Amino acid sequence: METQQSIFINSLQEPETREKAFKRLVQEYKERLYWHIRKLVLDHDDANDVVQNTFIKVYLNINKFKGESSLFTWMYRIATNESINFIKSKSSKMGLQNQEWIESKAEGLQSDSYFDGDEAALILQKLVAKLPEKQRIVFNMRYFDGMNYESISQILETSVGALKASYHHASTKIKSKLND
Amino acid sequence: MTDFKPKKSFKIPENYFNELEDLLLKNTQYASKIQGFKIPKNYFKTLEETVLKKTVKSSYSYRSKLILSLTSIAATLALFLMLPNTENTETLIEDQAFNDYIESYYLEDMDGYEILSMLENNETEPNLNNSTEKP
Repeated sequence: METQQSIFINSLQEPETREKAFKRLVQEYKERLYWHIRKLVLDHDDANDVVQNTFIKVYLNINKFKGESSLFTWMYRIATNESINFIKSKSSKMGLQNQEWIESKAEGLQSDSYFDGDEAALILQKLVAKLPEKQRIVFNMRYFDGMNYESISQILETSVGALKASYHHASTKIKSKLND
Repeated sequence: MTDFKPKKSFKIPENYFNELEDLLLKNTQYASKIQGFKIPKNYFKTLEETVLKKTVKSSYSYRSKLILSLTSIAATLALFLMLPNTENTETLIEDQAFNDYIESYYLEDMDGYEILSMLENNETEPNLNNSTEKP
């Protein structure tokens, strides 16, 4: 028996039903994907670019989706990769390392018109920006999104053990900096 | 004690798990927002419209790029296959016409000496040498 997901994927892959199904997909996932990306790139305009590219990639590659993972996991993976590629491209254009670029973005949050967090939120964002890329992604997904390790493992294609280690290192660093 | 069936003792509201799924999805959406980050008013509505417009455009551009690439490949292959053949055919036709002309008109009124004088020395010498060699 076909599951709801496979029926939906079929309608996304069939040319006659694709447009309608894709509209539903965008309605369903736009906010979750946007916030996932926003946490990684920090800036609203950048997140807007990346989320649009993510949906375009999903649209163009939907026929390659084999249903080996859930649709959401697959889209989340595309969004994560798009965010990482975006950061790489922006930082290399400015002659910076990825982490330096993210740190500069975090430093600029104070003057960002789309950020109104309090001092604690600002400090937390600056500390998260100092984490190595992988730890930063894992920390965002676990701490802010409250995702379980199994889901993160599927999205990032990393073992649960490695993710637990990454999260542990990340949270220890942040705690120690907050105590300083 | 043997009649004790814990699963039967607890009940859940009708459609609970379907509703729970919706509730959890909504909560995840809400929880995804981090403290301090804002978005422009009606952003998600415009995002949806922009994405749908862009996907239609990119789909057309993808198709036209594909058609263009296939056409270019076909044209290159056609040129590659046709050019050498044309050249060979033309060369053959030209050679044949030239030979015919030489045989029919140009050499018709010449004697053996005149023909020999028109040939280069190196072209005639081996033949002359061959002819003088004793068997």
